[in-house]
Amino acid sequence: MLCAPDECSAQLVTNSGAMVHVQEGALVVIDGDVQSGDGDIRVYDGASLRCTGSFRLLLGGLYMERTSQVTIERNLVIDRFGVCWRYAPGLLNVYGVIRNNGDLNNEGEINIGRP
Amino acid sequence: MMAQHIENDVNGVVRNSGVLRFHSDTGQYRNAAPYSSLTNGTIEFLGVTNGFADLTGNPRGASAFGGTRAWRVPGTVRYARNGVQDQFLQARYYTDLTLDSASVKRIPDSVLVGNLYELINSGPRRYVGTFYYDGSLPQRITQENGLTSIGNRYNNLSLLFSTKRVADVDEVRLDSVFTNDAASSVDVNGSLYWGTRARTAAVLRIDSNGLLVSGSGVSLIGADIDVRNGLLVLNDRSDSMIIEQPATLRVQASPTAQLTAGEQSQLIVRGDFVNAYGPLTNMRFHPSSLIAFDALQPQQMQATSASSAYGNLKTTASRKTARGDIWVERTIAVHDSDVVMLPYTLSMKLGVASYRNDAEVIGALRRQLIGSDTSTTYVYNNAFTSMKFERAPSELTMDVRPLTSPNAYNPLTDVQRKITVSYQGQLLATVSAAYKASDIPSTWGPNASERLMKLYNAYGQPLPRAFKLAPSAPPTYVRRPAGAGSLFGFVQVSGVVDVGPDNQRLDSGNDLLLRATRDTMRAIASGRWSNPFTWDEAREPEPIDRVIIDGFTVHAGFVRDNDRYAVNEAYPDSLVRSILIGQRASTSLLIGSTGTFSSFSLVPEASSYITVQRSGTQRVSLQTQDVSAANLDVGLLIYRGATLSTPLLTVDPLSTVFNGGYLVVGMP
Repeated sequence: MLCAPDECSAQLVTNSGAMVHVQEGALVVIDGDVQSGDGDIRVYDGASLRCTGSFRLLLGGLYMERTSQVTIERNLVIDRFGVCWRYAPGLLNVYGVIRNNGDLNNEGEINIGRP
Repeated sequence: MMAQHIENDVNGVVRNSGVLRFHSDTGQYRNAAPYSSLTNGTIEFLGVTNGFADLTGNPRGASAFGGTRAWRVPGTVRYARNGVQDQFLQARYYTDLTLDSASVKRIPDSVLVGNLYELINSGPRRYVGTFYYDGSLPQRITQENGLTSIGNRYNNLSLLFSTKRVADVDEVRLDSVFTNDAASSVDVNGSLYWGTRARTAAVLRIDSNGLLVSGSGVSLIGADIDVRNGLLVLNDRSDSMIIEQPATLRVQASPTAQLTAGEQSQLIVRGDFVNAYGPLTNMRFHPSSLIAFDALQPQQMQATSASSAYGNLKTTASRKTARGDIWVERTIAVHDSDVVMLPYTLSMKLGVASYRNDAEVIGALRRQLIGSDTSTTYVYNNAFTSMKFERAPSELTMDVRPLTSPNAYNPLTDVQRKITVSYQGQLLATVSAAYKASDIPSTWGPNASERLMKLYNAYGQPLPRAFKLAPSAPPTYVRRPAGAGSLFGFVQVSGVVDVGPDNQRLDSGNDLLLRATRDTMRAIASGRWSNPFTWDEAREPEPIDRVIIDGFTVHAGFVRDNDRYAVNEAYPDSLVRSILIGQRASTSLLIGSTGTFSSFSLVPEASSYITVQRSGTQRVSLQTQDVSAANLDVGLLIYRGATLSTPLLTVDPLSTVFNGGYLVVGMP
């Protein structure tokens, strides 16, 4: 589970081996949770990705290029073989917990929680 | 409410070269992975109580970053809260620690920084407990220079494992305790102000115009303080700074290497204190400050100049010597063991010199006497060597050397202690000179005795000679033999002057000789033979003595009004071995009687004699004893009813002898 039952949104986006490209300047809003199996999600320079639920990396990776900005309003979970890579100089905002049992790489800024 | 942490599980790796920023007040970096799982980067806390913990949230857990030195948080941790509420740092081992933004930062006990500690537009810092610099590479101590204990000052500061530095543009202040370990020498190139106590175990170097000010408490200095170019200050009214064995307080040979001892400060030297600057003008000791040389092993005292005099000087525990002249503004206290000043001089003014356990200053002790008074006894080299002035010179030095032959020394009769007195100006004083039993040589003859001890003005080469000091009438010799409550015996006499007759004068540069023998006694006042104050040695002559009566009228056997002395002569049948009745006017020896007390004799030996030199100008009755106070000018006179016997009588030409009783000449 990505989140407790009372926290789960209604939607779940699952990636099972695909390459998902959020191209430069694009805006993607996912109203719900994301679960990424084998396959990568790349957010390119200038693009934005927003997830209102939790984001789980089972096997694949989440790669945030340059000035891209990603916001996860609940938890970010990186499983044993998951990879999360925040390149400089952009932001990754996670308003819940980052649970990492894989690879979390940060060259930019990762903000955890809210004031 | 959602938790807002990073939770790094056992297999997790966090490669951070950017910033991990915690926004919530309680957000934590929680970890269960090995230490190598987190790389250098910046972790930024913006909440009130952020920190590090294990995966369960326990900050003391084994895998919590920063909980031990081996788990020091890598990279930079930045506390950067900018809100109204204070931000609380976590007690951790940090590599680099940065405080940023306006919130008050609360720094608890046991924050340890292994590399860099930075303050960047930080709000006020409130320190409690101990802050540590514990890196294994040299570190700079970050400036904290709050002027009050309200904030921005370290509380306790502890330096570990490597050289630390106060940069030359920085000022570091503490409220409480300073410590450094044996690996943490400190370069003080800026200003460092201790709070209360201090304990050092590695060298402190003051250089580049640096400043170190001691705290209010005891500073235990276990390693050298090296003042190269800058100032070491013992703060006003601070407790002791103790230079422990084997540490050295070293002031280098430069006018810009300086030491100041503040008001009522105390410098206790159990190791060493060396000032290599020749003029010695780079030190300042407040007159109320104290320096104590307190080593258990024999110790050298640092010299001073006249302008850098010690305030008060104390020596304890062991024998002390000196590296040069020493000047003291106020008091000296010599306890336990001697101070050997040779070949230098210890100079002081009018303050108290006190001694315990029969210790003394060997060598020259000079007093500057301007402003002295007539009611104070100024103690010199030991507790019983002193001067009390009616007219004081501008300065007077006594150079005391035990077990040293004085001028005109006679091993049969003299104490082997050289006391040389030098002065500038007039002198009228009561002089007391002390000696120890160890100064009495085994060569003394059978007639030498401490109870006969007198002071002499003794000249040196090329014509050694000594004149007995018997300056006053009545004489005022006071004696105490050695061993009577102290190792010291002493002899004291009043009326010693700089100019005058030989028996009153002590010449500057001469020795004060202690001679314990019989001299020819001299009458120094008209009075009865049995009255001690008639004689220069303040005692009645004994059979073994020889006496001179010259210029005075001495009577025996009856009472006259000049002294009304009614005690009978102690040795009427062996008065003395010889009597010389001199030539000066009013020289008379009157032999009278009181009832059955009427017969007097010299010692009945062939060598005993009376010589009469006075040609008396008076003709008096021989039938009626003159009991007035007037001096008579008759030479030798025996009243009716009295008897005088002498083995030999010599009457010089024109001298006078009047016999109204019995005069027996010759051996029976």
